[in-house]
Amino acid sequence: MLQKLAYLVVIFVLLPLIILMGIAMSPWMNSALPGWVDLFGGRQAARTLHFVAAWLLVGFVLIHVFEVIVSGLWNHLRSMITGRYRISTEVRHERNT
Amino acid sequence: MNGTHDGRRRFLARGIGAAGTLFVAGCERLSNSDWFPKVLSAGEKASAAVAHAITSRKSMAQEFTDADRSPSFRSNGTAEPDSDTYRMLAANGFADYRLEVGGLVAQPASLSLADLRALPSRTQITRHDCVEGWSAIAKWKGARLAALLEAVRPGPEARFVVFHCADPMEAGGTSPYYESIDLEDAFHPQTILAYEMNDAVLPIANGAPIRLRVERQLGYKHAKYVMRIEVVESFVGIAGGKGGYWEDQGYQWFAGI
Repeated sequence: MLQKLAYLVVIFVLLPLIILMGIAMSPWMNSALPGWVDLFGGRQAARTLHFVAAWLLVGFVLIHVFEVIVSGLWNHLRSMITGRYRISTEVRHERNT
Repeated sequence: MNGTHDGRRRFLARGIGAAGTLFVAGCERLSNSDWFPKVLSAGEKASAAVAHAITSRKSMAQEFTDADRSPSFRSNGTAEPDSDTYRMLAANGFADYRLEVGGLVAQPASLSLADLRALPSRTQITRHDCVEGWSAIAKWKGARLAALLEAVRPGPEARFVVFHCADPMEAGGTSPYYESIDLEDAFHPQTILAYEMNDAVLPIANGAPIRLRVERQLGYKHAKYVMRIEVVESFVGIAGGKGGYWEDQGYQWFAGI
């Protein structure tokens, strides 16, 4: 549930936010879209939101890669590319313990 | 128990240290390689192409009212050029100052401050955005660069305008600051050679006697202490060849980002 929520936030909140705030920080885009930056309270507000979104994305990538590694790196990588995900080894593991 | 914890902690610390060293070494190798900086500069070119595609050549930077002006306008970079030539000019109130205009032009010129003030001017209240992250709003008055260029008539092969400045950037008076813009920006109505800031003569801290204003780009493009203007076809043979002092250190030439 938390994982699905994280994906939704990254795709529909953080990525759009970082692009829109990047546009608000650009003096060139300011000339194309006058008033855009003022919607967010000026350059410094846009800058703060841009960097908060950037660090949240970095945090997401770190946690995401960490989770892939701890839950079985090769199995996960193979399943991403081929769709084949082996669960039998884990079942056997559980029986043994 | 404590011993194993210490061991584990040491192992972790060493692991992180080793990973960091590898990472830094990897970055060093990447930035020294041929291909990696090219990949990065492809991003810069793509960004510039998109910015140009979706804005008109004459799109205007936002202008403000007197009430919006910042209480103080920061002096960044050089606050007083460390050059004897400049100090002599400043001591005399820039009475002997001449702006040399040359390169690929039909009629090279040498203009005094009075000549520059006689050119068609523009006054604008604009926001200055520094690459460091601060911004400030001030009123600028200056000669329109378009008017100056029309007088000296750039040749058909002209592509860029280079601004050579009085302030040395390295100890010992070497590496004078310089910047460059393309002809689109050079002929833009808001591109001016400013001689006034906030209704007063431009202070030395902000680039006296002349500084460039190129309002759709970041602050480092707005060269201060402009002494010579050169119209060129390419940056080959000018300092590091990237079109500006900071560009030679790796900054983007297109600073409309």
